[in-house]
Amino acid sequence: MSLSVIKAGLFDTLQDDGRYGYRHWGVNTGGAMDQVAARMANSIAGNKNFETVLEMHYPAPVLRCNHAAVISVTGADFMPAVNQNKIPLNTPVILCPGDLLSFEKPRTGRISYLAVQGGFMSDNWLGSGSTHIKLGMGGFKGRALKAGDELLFNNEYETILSPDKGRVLPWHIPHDHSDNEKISILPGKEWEYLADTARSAFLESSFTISTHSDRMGFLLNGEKLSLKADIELLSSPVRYGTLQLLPNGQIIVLMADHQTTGGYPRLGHIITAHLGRLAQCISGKHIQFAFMDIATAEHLMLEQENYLQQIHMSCSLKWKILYAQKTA
Amino acid sequence: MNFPYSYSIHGLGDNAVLIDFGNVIDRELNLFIARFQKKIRSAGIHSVTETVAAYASVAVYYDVIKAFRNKGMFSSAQDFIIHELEYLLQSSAFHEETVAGDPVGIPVCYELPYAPDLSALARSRGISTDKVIEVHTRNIYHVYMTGFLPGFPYMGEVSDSIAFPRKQQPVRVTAGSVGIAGRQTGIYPVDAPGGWNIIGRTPLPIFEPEKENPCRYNTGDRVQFFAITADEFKRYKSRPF
Repeated sequence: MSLSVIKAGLFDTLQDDGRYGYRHWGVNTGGAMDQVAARMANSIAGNKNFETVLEMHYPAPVLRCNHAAVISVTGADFMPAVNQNKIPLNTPVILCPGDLLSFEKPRTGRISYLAVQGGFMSDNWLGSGSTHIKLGMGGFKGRALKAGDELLFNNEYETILSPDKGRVLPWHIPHDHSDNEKISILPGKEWEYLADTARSAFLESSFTISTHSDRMGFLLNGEKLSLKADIELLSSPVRYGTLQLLPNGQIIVLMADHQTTGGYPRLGHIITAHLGRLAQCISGKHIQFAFMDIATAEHLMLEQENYLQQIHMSCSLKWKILYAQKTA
Repeated sequence: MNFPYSYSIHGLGDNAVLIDFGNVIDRELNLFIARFQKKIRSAGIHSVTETVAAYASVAVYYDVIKAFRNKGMFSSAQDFIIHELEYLLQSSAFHEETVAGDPVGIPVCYELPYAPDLSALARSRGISTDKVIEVHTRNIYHVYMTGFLPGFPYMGEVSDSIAFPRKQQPVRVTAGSVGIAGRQTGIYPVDAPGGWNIIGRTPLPIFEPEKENPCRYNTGDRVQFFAITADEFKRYKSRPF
């Protein structure tokens, strides 16, 4: 019914689908950076779609399981291991009391998710269990995890499964961890303000993700872009995935913990279906932007939603059958 | 509709649209935007989830899947939402008689260490620090928007004699700090990096997460600063609110 933090990771926070309805107060939505991976973690662990999960960067934490539990790890591959035996991603794994979950080294991706069957208990603020770091609200005491913390499961949930036939359950949800550097965007209101040469440079060159990148924003290195003329803009709303042009000609992409309004030119907005793809890009990785039309962007979003629903339904069914057999 | 401002509607990515009234600071326009925001919320366009009003623009966030189901003949959910908002905007009255309430007082200590940038600002503008304080506390300010950080009120406009551009590099700013950026003045609700010139600090909490409306100041409020001493600042701090 709980996991203990033996060693904290770089930045481990509890996140869900985000906090909606309060942007007019300046409260951002937050939530898991890669919603696709977070939802898959929940589906595979047998949870509802938007249960609170643990979002981890590398170095990731070392966790000890205090009771029998079912977990799943998705997103970035940090080579998860139980008692130093490697476990697969996107697969349900049964843990026993005393088991140690660790992550050996980062192989692909930037952010990994851990879901536990039953869900992590989290502080709810404004309808969400996501951690709001700036305010110290939501998640686990409003902060990143520290050694010694104990993460409780909802309703003292404990699985009745035991690993008599091995810890790793024999099913796996394939997920192409799209090592894709093509990111589609829709034009921002201030796109036209870019100088002609800057517009072609933006579309033809590639950018790398700077090490100065976090849950608030990804700073991009690459061609310095200039505006047709200097302009002082009033603060205006932005969203997760907005590309802003900084005064020094660099682009910053606003991520899940972004500010709600900003005064820098908005060159474009990443389509929702590609937000997880960007969130998984590690520092130094080359990415390239291309414009897409709104109808296609919506189509991709609906397609992604259908894909996640299908995974969710097939996982739910598998869990139902498994527990029916167990209790029969 | 007799609409004194031209506007344009743009996509703000694939799940929001932006109605933009230009790059202007105007109290009447800003009050209209605040009213229009409320109207959108109560209009019952059932895929709309959130609105954010700023100086001269309002963003409308919506549930794409719901909007898509209702889009009918429109080529995209976004086109459908834009059409609905256009209709709402055309049927909105721009002018509305409003009775301005009394301004709310905000205590500010303009002494060190609470005012790290006050003397530099005064020097650059060629006036004394006392003059900056006098000018800053003289005007009644309008709260144009909350944004950037939770509860951060954007207020204006400060007199030209104390207007000052943002710093080139953001620095660490303490919660309660009162700053100037151009002709705007604002208050940092939480510790954060920021580029505004800090001329004082208020002991009042600006954003209280546990409250039903956590923002102390909201769009349309009228406020006026008054100077307090460092001793008074500490007394305020020790008082419950």
